[in-house]
Amino acid sequence: MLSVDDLSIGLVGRRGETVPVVERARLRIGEGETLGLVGESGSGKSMLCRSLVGTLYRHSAVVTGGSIRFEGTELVGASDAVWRTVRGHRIAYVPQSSLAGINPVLTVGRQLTALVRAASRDAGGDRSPRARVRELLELVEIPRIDSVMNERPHQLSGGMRQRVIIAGALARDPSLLIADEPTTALDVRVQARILDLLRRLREQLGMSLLLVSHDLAVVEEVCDAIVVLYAGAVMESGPQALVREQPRHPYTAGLVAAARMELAGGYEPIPGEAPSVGAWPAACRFSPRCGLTLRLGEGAPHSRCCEGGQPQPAEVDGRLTACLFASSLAGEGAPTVGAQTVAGETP
Amino acid sequence: MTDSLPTRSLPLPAEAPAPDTRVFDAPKRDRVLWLIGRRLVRAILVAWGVSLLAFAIVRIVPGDPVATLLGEEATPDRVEVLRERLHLDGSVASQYGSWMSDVLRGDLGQSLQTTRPVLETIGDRLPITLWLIGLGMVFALILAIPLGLIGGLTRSNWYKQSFGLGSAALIATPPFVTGVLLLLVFGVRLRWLPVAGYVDTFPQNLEYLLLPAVAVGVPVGMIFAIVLQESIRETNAEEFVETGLVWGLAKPQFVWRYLLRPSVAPVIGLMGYIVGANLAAAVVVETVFNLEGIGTYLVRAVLARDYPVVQGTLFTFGFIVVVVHFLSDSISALIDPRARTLS
Repeated sequence: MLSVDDLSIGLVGRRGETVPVVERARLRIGEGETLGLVGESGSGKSMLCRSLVGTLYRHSAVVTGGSIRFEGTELVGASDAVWRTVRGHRIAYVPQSSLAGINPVLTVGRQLTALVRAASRDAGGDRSPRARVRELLELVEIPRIDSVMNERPHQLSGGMRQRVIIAGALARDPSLLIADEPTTALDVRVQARILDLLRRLREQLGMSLLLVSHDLAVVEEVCDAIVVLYAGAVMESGPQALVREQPRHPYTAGLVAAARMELAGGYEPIPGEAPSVGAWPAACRFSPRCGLTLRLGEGAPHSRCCEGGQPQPAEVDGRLTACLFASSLAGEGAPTVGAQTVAGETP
Repeated sequence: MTDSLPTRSLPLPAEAPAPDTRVFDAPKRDRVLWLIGRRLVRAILVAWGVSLLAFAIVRIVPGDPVATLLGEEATPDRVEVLRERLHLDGSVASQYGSWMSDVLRGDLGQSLQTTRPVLETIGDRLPITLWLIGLGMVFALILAIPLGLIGGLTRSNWYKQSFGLGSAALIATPPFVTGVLLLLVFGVRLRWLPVAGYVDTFPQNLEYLLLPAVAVGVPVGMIFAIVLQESIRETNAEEFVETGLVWGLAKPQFVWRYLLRPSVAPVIGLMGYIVGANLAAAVVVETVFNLEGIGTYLVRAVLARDYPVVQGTLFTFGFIVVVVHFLSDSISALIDPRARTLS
């Protein structure tokens, strides 16, 4: 239903030049499927999401190449008229921050009523807006609906606000819901409940879901498939369990190991820092931090990782990976971080 | 006070607390009332300060009204009699006391020139001035809303530069210059609108008020536009605007509810201050256009040392500013809940 191919996004600079933030990204979401998009902040996740709802221009960014096909419609270069029928209608969007994400000057009831009215006018329906708003708020499990409707966002807790925003996103029965880090601003207990809610809504309403997170554990809980983004490029993508249990990219392996350490109460990040936008390595984006290239090049990064462009994902063991030496990661047990990943192994 | 006002809150049993979804616990209606009440008290204090100032200014300015009225060769007896009649004898404090007690009873004294009660004349002339200021505000908003929206949303540097230059020029031009230019172009050259005069009935008076209102409104409109565009730029960067956009609301609704309404509070707050500047502009503009408002009344009174009139008009001006300020503050609090936390 959604296929994104070779999508590149650039930030527009002062003189009209573009600095790439996403390059040749590829992802697929099927009917009723949940895809997890994982990456550190600055990896281009949010920009990728905004390209799917056509709001890149608000962030001085443009699509510089590739295609987004959604339910048979090409969205790259689509006219405003097309976007008006897609944005919010077929593809809904839940923003990152639950406080800043909702209009502070109007009561919840008025915001949602206006939206529902617009929705029913577009759909030519004749349902009473108030009843529909109640229905939506029930759907997202909001208690004391009447009093919540008369309240303004700052009077609600973070979890409640996020529920209201999700209710708004569902107003037009979208077929794809994009949730951009929907739980980042919330505390852990509330996070789990919002994730449960999203999972239930997807099943109940038969939507597809694109769940964005920097946290592998969040994605693990809800998603069928997973795409790992690093410095604007897809590192690895495939079925969630497969990618998580047998990563075929050193970056994914690092993430998985870090998540496991965290679960065990430890802390073991991937060494080094993600490059900032505009300062990406010319070749494999991950090569400066990658233990595997060091090992392969015996002390210095491997020359093949540092020449040519960012490797394009190729199929290895049932998923796509952008590592040229993916097969050297095969057959390993528990993956560990960085340099230790291949310590003692011969490629 | 709260008891006499209708409240919508239901009498809930105290022992059944609702599940907690609130962050703030203050009931919002009472909170707003409390804030408005506090501002009312402040407004009354400021009005009192204004009366002190109006009273003091007349006494600080050099020139003796009695001498002016009677001329150089008045006998000391006649001076004494007039001084007593005008309550200019006793101490300054007792003078203020007797003036204030009259003011509180709604008596601003009589004009020395015409012996007509000051309040009566102000009552006759105030409508013209209020029309002028009100219409000036309307013009200012008509200019400011589109300019603010364009300026807040555009990325064009060319626009920003030319707006910066144009607005600076218009703000810097004093209203009497704008007024004279407008008169020359639309009154004298094109003969579209009358050069001077006034008619008291509603739709006809607009013809006479149009040019003066533009003269008063243009600089104010530019100031509003600058404030509004800055505010809209900030609002537009907020995530909730993106939410509203993705919700796919109708354009006018989106622009009003998601861009303008969250951005207008600073402009409404500013209105309270601007009304004072507007009154000052009205004094000058009324003179240019020969409008018989309180501006011209004040100017004539100052020239004639007609101190009850000066005192009374200044107090009225101050009073208007205080009232408008109070209203604009209260409206900001009603329209944008975020303004309630700022005092």
